Amino acid sequence: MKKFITILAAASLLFTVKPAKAQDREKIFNMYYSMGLGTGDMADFISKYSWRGFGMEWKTDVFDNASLGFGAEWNVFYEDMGYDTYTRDNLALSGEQFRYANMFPMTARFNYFKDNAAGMRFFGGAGIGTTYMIHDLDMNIYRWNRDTWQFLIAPEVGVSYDISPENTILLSVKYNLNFKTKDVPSQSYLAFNIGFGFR
Amino acid sequence: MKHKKLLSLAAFTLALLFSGCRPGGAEYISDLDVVGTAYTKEIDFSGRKTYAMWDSIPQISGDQLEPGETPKYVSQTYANVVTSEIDKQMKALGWTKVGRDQNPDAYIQNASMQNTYVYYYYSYYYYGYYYPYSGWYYPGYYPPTYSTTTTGTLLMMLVDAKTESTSPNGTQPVLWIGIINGLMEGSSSSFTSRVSKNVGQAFKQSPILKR
Repeated sequence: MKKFITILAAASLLFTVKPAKAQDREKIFNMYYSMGLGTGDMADFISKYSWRGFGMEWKTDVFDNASLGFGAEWNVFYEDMGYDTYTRDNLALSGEQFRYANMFPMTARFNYFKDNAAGMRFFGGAGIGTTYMIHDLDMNIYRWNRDTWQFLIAPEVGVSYDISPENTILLSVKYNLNFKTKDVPSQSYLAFNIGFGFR
Repeated sequence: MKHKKLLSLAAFTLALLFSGCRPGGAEYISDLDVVGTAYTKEIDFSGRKTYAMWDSIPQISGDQLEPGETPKYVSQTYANVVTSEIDKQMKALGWTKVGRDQNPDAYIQNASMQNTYVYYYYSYYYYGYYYPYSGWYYPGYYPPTYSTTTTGTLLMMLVDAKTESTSPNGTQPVLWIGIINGLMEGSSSSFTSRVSKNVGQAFKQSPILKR
């Protein structure tokens, strides 16, 4: 259901924008530091806030108030679960557990934006693509590992501010909504991004 | 020019932020210790209250004993650490220790074994073979390396003495088993304290043994 709402919202934006003239089309390359917070099943695996991550994206204006682009991120989640006892039926296992999740979302992105006179650009939109993810669980000298790809829809809101004619500062919040696959439940998380843009 | 400088600064800052925050993991040898327990659901052993135990702990290896060969045992110092901790925990759980000739309800049989794992790393892009004199190697690709890790396992088995054996070779059913595994490293005192703590943990996570 969420998928259809997002697609519908993106499609409706297409009908409210005017094509930009070729000479007015702004192209921008963003590089940003990306932090993350797992939600739902992802938070069940690692609930700790991630301070490790970065991303890049390239966007070009395709309409007077809309841009199209693509980008990729790498977010690393880690949690030391501490010493605990895991019980199942007549079995119990105690030890220290360390959990890792490496997330590589890759999306094509469409954004609706509004500029103001102070050099700020407010934008909102969504990306559609895929996430490659690697989950590791270390206990004792053993590592349990799984990797998979999940379909991704990533709504995003943010603002950029011109610090010079060529450069901007970027702030954005993105929700990486990864859809469950046969064996792996939905691994979704919020990403908080801060970085620079280069025209 | 300014643009390039800012781009380089941004790339450098991002790289620093990312590489400087590499996720952690096990820091101490004890972080790798695990304690596993399991009990049988086939037999109701809530009525068993007395046990007997051997003082020595044999070392299990994959080799068959030759005729006349005696099994190896772990040092009696460590065996005493294990057996005294077991006695302490069993007493706390309400069990009574008796002699082996005093018709105990169960026996505790301990055993230990060691495994050595060898990790070997060789990069295909390492050209050390062609440049053995200078010791040069391609940046980022290191000479072949290997390391060994030895883990030790302690098995504690609570063997039933009251159930009639149904096994053709007369073996008795195991009611409860505790398995401790960890690295065979560290000073003698820290090793002793880890063994003692983990033996204690095996009983703490087994409320089925409470009398």
